[in-house]
Amino acid sequence: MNGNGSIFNLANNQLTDFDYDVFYPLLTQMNSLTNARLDVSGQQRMFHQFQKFIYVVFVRILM
Amino acid sequence: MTIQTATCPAPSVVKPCNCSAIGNIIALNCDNKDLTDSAISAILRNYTTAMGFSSNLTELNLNNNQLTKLPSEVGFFSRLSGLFANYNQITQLTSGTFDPATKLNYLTLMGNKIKTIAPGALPSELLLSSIH
Repeated sequence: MNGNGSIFNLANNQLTDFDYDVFYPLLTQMNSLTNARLDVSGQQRMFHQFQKFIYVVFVRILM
Repeated sequence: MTIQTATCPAPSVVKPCNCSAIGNIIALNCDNKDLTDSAISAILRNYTTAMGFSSNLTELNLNNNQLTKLPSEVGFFSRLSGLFANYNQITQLTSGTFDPATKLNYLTLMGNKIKTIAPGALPSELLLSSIH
């Protein structure tokens, strides 16, 4: 395996929140890979939670 | 030099799904068979009975069925690298579904009704496998 095409796709479901304990380990792994994709588009009522989650993860990675 | 090739069980074992083996890849295709949770569980148990718990199933396609959850039997297949369960009726992902040794490269669950994902529900090496 060379890192190409690793995909975790949860698009078009009904998630309403991002559980930090679920997604943070995934994103930290993906940060060290090439062409890894996590698709969580098309959820219901999660836009604000998504913004908050990405902000928290971004800050944690920077730290 | 001996080249070991993967094999499938008899078609009747996994009916109405189709199994194909190419090299070391074994793919079980159950796409669009209108299968329920119990039906797919029975098929996966039949597969395991025929091929053993150490079977080399590498890809499992459960797209376009009537599943409400990922079958616990996927935990039988530690060499599974691709699990596709798009367009079912799955509402949640619970912990303990996957064998701890499972290293999925592909997990696609598009178009379900997933509202919650329990911590530990995803394989711990979901993506790390791709750098080995």
